[in-house]
Amino acid sequence: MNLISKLLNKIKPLLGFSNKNAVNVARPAKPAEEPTNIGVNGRIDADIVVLRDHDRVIISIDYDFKDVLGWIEWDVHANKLDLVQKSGSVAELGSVIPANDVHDFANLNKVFVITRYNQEKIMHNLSLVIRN
Amino acid sequence: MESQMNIYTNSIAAAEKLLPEAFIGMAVVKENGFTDDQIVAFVPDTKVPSFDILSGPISAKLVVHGQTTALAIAPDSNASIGQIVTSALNAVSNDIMESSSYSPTQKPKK
Repeated sequence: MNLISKLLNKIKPLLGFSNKNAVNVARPAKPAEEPTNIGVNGRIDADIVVLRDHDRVIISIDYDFKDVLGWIEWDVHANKLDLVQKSGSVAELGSVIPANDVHDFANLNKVFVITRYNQEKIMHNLSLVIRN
Repeated sequence: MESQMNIYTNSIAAAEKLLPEAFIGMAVVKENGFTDDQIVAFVPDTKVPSFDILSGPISAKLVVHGQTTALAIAPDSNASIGQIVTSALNAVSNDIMESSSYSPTQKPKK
């Protein structure tokens, strides 16, 4: 019996059973992950102006996007503008363009977007993706 | 030379605030071009003479929340773009208020 007991004690650690005398080596704790997504998701309540002169369109949005702007998506059917940021966040802008005038924008693939950046106003040249 | 533009906005107040910088943005694009990787920072309320875009009158179709009206912007070399836009929009706002078809639900946000 004593021999069996000794054998069991020897093979327990090999089988993964805890040993009361074993010393626990603490693993270093993972550093807390800082939030990296600084983009804006969902509907934003911002003043907006769209200025069109032939094939040039300026969209001015009174909003300070902390993230880098990626592109503008325009869902023609729902008539809403979305601003996609580099983090993948999608800010919903709604739309101020009436359905009657939608065809004026159908052939565009670039728009200029003015946003706030701290106290400055900056303008970006963004791709316009139109979804019908 | 007269320019013809379309302006869409969610309120007269938004137009007053944002149209000056939109005009300047348009002027930058027209006069200097704009490359894909370029970001331009500017002062929104710049004096008129710097920009050819406002060297002639601007006729614009102004659409505020789907309601269409006409907007005429006359350049004045002594005024800033912001002042010109504000006076033009005040005239439009008064027209809307005095219009017999005016509905309280269409009251421009001031």
